[in-house]
Amino acid sequence: MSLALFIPLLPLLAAVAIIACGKRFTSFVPRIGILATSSACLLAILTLYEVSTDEAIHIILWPMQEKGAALFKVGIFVDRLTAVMMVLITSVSTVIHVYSVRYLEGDPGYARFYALLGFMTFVILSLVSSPNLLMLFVFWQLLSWTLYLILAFNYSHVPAYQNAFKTLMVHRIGDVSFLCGIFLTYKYFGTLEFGELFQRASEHLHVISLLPGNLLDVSAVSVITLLIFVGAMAKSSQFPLHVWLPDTMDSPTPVSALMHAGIINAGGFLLNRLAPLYALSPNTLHIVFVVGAITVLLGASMMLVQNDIKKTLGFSTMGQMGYMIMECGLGAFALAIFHLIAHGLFKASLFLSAGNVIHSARHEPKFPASSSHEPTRLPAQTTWVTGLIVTLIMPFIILMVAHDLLEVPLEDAHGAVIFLFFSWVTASQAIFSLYRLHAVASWKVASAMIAALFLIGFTYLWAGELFTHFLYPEPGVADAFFVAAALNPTVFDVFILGSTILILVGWISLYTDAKGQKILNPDWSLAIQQKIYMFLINRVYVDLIYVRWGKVLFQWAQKIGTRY
Amino acid sequence: MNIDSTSLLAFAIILSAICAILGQGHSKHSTIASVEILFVSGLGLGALLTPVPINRYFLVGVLGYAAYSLFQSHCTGAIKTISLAQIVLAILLTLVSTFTGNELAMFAGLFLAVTLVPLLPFHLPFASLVGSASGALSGVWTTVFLALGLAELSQLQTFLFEGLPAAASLLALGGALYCSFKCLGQSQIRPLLTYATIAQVSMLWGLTTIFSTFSQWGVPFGITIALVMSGLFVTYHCVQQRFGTHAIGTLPGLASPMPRLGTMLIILISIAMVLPIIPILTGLTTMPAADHQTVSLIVISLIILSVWMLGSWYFAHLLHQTAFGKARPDIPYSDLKTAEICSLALLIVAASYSGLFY
Repeated sequence: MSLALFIPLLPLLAAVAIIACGKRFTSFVPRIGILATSSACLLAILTLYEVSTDEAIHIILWPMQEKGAALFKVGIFVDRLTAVMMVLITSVSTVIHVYSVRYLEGDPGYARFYALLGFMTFVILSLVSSPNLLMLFVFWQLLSWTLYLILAFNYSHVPAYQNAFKTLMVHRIGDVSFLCGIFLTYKYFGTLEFGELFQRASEHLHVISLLPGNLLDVSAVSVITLLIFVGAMAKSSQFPLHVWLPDTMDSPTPVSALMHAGIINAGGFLLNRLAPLYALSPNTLHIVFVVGAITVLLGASMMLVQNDIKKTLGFSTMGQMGYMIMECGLGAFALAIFHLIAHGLFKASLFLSAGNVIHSARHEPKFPASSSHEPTRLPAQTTWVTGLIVTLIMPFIILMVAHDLLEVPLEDAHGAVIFLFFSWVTASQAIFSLYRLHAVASWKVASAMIAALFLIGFTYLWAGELFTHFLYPEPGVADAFFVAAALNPTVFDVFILGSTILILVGWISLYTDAKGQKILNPDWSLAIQQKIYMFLINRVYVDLIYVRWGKVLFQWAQKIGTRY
Repeated sequence: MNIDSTSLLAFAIILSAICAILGQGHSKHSTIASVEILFVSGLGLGALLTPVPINRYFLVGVLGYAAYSLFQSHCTGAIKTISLAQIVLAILLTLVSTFTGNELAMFAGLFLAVTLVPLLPFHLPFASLVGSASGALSGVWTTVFLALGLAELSQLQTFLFEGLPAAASLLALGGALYCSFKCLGQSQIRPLLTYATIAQVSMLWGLTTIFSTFSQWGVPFGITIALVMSGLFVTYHCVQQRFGTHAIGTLPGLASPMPRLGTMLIILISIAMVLPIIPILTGLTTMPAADHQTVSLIVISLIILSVWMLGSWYFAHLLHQTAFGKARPDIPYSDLKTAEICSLALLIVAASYSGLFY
């Protein structure tokens, strides 16, 4: 009996205990929750050490039938990927349990909240330790439902449960697609166990005829991976299934923290778990990349136009999830997990801090001065020098280090080049944001920023390589993922060139605008900018489209309900 | 059909009757309602447990009383006429088949099955009877009808699997979509729950065309549907008994002043929303990995997905309009009593056992 079994069990037992005795012994409720999750965290760390030095843990608890027809097995599978996720989930959950002690103190649903938190932790831990696709799907479902219940925690507040319902329905769309993928997986490969599935998929090439007469034949693996990816899209808030995330801010702050740090990573985890299957379908990987890239652009753009701190963080998460999915689409599955961990930790801390900031702001008697009364300041020389270093010199240095010191095969791995490229884009975006705030006006701030960016860049690069070798120690496995995801050379060159030109044009436009010359920013472009602003502030109208479809469907249903 | 399935079906009827009586509460009609519940359950148990041909007479008794109840109900128009005609036809076929050969018995069995386990377009008697039954009797009728229908289906499983797959699966798909949309557009609780039951049951019909081992998975799954929906009928009967309303949305926010009711509702609706997943688990575990026609798999996939997707919508909508929201300050709320909680808890436990562990 492995200790790994107790990792998901402890939060579940805590949830059951809180449900049974929580109302009578309210003071013990947080202690039970914190004790359970912190113990689970310690066990997760021990398990991580165990699987790092030994082989993966695979325990079957319920075989149903020993041979042949048993398709559904209940058990636990802990490899390095699972162990890393378990450490992340239990540590974030422990922090949130501790934070919630005073945050929700006095709330009539105090025990209910902790019970849901414990149950949610159990569900996520069981999801990441599922040994087969069906068990993963069962917990995927439970996660959707538990998220609905916890988002509707303030169920007497109408927007809370309405947004929880929106979340549930969007996740259902993803779940429906996921289930279709499972149906096809079983039909074509006859198994849902991960190891067997990867082996059979690599050995047998099945083709699905989408049109009669074999007019449109596609690989079964492509269809399956695409359907499963739609499920991941819903959970990880990818465009166009992103609409639920920004509206979940009515839930308590600890819930937002858990969601943005833990639950939303489920999609990225799913792609990582099925990485060998995705590596067999380059087309799906390209689609994954495109969806991720669109999500990054839209998420980051919509973040820039928000005026609410929590919604800003929400769209920021959407952008970061797009980045993570994009990394999967480029074959950098291990880097996606690294990103997921880093993002989870910093976003959880941001949300928990946001709660305190909002609380303090509500008690602040004075209103802040309006920025429209501030005199317009032109960017200082410091700003331009910082921008030059960050956007031109730093990427060049990072490229040299990557190629010469870390020996990243840039010529073969499109993925690595695109990463570095997007690092450059992100750094540029940081500069643009700070330019808006006029913050980069002193050498101290500029130096601190440059140093921080260099540190982050090099740490990311170095840690990313280390993490890749940790998750995929077998030689050639990680490289094979990169090769499978390689883009068409012409597409790749056009992408890089086009994005480079866009960024340079942006800088030139800013510079000339600062000098009072609107060469690349004529007056007519202001109207377009305003239209883009309205487009983004209305969340690219996707929400409105869904609401309209929902209303039409509801009207049809009412007609059927009353007339037939 | 083996003894275990019969015991499960009989147990479901007994449990449903006990829970309906416990959930009746105290009113001037509760004695009459309890007698009615016992009468219907007794007939149902007789139809299940007595040997041939006595069980056919009990079955005729169930159908006869169903016809009588429907005749006395507030239903009007063509639906009532068609429903009564179908029940009378079922009675005649049952009586005639008792005394004649196997061919007519098989046809009678099929007709009984589509009437008792409602399959579009033979769903009208079930919908009219359950939708118009008073008090907690709706839940009992649901369980009795489904239990007797499942017993008939078990005897027909070979015929269904080999002889009638395409027609049954297409009708099931039609029923799933139609009933799910009808539930979405409902403004009254009882019809919503009735058509939700028919939508869930259509999955059962769809799956009979793929999984031949019906008695191993179909009976427990059917009983799970019956018990969960009975639980919802009993729960909303408690609300209607206290506040006199069946309309969705007129009394929101019940979970705040009535936390026990809120908890029971959330649990029952959670199980109802997960129901479509259960046959996937149980069917896959008991079914040998046989090769099936793509069309059958596509149809059953569409059934499960539509029931699941739309079921999530209307069940969540029901939860929002009843349990969630702001409670009205002018209403004297009173939470569930011990007897009512026990009845619902028993149904939940039995449904979980039947769906997951049996």
